[in-house]
Amino acid sequence: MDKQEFLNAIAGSDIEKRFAAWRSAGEQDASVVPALITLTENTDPGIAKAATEALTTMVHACGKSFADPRRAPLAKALNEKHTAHTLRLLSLIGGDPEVPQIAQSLSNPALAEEAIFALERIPGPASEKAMLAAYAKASPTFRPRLLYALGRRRVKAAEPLARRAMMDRTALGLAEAGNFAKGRIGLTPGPTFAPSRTQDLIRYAESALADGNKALALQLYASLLKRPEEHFQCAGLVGMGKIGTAEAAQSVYAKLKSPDRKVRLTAAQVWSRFV
Amino acid sequence: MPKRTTRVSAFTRRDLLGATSAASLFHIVPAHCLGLQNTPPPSDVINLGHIGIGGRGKGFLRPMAALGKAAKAPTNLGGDGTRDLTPAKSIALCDVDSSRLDAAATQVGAGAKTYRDFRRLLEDKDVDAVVIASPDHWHAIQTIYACEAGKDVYCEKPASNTIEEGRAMVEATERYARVVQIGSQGRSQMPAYHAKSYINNGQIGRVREVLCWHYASPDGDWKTPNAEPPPELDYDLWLGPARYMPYNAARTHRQFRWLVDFGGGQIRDRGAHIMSIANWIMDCDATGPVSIDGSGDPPKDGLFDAAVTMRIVYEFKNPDWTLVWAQPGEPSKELEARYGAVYHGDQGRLTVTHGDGAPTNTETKAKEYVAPIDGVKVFKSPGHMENFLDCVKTREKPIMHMEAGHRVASLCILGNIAFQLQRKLEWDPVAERFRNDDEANRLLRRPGRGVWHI
Repeated sequence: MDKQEFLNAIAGSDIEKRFAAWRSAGEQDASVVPALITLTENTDPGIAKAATEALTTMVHACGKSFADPRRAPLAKALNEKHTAHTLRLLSLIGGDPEVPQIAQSLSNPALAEEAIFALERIPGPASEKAMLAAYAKASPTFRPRLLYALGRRRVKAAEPLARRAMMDRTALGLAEAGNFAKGRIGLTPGPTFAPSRTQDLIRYAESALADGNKALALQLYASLLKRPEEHFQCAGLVGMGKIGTAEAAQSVYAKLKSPDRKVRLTAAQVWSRFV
Repeated sequence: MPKRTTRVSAFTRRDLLGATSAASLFHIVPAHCLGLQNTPPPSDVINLGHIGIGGRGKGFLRPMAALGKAAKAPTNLGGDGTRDLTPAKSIALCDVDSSRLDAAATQVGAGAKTYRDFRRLLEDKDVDAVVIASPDHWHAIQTIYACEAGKDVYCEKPASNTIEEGRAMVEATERYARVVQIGSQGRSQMPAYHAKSYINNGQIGRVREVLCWHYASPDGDWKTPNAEPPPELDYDLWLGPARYMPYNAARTHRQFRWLVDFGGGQIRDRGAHIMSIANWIMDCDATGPVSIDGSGDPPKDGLFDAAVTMRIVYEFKNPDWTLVWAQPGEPSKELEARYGAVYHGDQGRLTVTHGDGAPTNTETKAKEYVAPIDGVKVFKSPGHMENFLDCVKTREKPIMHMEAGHRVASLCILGNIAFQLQRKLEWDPVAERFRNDDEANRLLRRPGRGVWHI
């Protein structure tokens, strides 16, 4: 199907022709993208859908590998006009060249969520640097969202931002996001790490263990064993099981006689892995 | 390592058994010891919180007034109908739709606490376990938060919307040593038990192929326009981690399953039942396929985007077998049903139908089969919810534990990705990554919106 015939079919009223056109959109080159983006905003929902699906089909047709010659021109064309849908597609095929433009959409309240979604999905250091750079300029309401993304990506360079945010006593949402990020990123051992949510402390212990810092992990899991809540004690026991040292085993053994049944049974399960 | 052995050898198995069993013998006090004839003592009663109490969720409610009245566990959730209901009561209810919340509160009776935000329900120290029957896009976050709050979880199927979510749910379950049952109740139904016993004892030889069939998904239309959300619905909380889109009644209650952002079509809705039985029979609760090939057609027009027709071929290795999800596929010649699976062995075949709330069935030859004394023993579930409540007390893994639920949901998710991309994908079931496919790997995760992150 040639370009004009294809666009006419997408913009037409015949459902069968529209469907056939968007199903074959993988054959088209990036030059149809501007017209398709315009059609995604058509007031006829059937035409908007056909244009949306055509763009999606084009992305899927070349998304497997960066080496596909259709991929870079398509990503470039999608990056020319950001909409919620083009950003969603850029999350699938965007690369380093697209990142700066996507980062600019972080300051557009209507597109910020889709822009951070795309950056979070695009692998590599360029998207991480863009998220870090955006933090300083971001509005107070959007900073937590950036911290969640940086935490999920476990961006080590974001650790100071997370630490500062978690200490913030003026913005609860920011502090929570800071705790979330800090727990997942790890680094900087500290008695000063006192997250508002114990769940984040447990993530922090896991990060410490993943970084090979068994001593810190042991200290953190031991603190959980002193908590009154049975599920935090259970988490402490599971963590001790992962540490796997004699000292950890001793902590587990002590809980075999816990008055709490769940703690006792969890201790027995963890203990069975030691013996 | 040697050091660890030296230290722990000071403790014997006898110490361990003494520590665990002696105390547990005295933990549960029988009702009659407390002078109560019918009402079970509080220590025997499991307090349930319910998150999502619409169409599916209301079926799990346990009215306060029913406590202490003799009743058998319903067989739509499996079991053989002989089991007395384990004492449990619904003490907390949550829904983002206040009309559903009010209806459920009336059904349960006075005393149940009601919440619009599930996080408040999870703060309730009286709740022992939660039943999650919200739309699919909420399952992961709510299950993880529940584990973090120390609750055991019965979560409706399919477990998750992405591979990353499913793995995070497994990790949360293990991190807090919680009991999590995914609601693919087919494995708790007697015909599935008979089928597994029959097949695992070699009655159709080595299984090479499992062919699932199901009718097509609806293709939708534009009849329902976007609108302002109704006042009883907290639409932002309904969307939660999913991307924002305008409210449309045809995208929310019940219908969410025909959209990939919230559900994902029949392969998820019923596939999570039919393929759950397949994974159970084929002992694949901790692994997955090595390749997935997808084809089929989406809706030509209309609001929905989940596949109308599809054919997904999954290849497994060691042992080698093939699973096919086909909508529509070829129905069984032996049993009449709208959906199910035919297990093809090198010495015969066997049909298992349904696997959900509809009566699961299998062929008479399997139902009448008695395994030899030295044959393969199959766990017989007392019913899906009963099995869950048993495990809440024993802390054992339920029949559809979180890893099993994740692996079944993975089949649904991988099938949908292969369908979307319309190409054969190579899958590493250990690393849970695609081989040589950048775009497919990006589809393994779906970042959440706003404050909703795993």
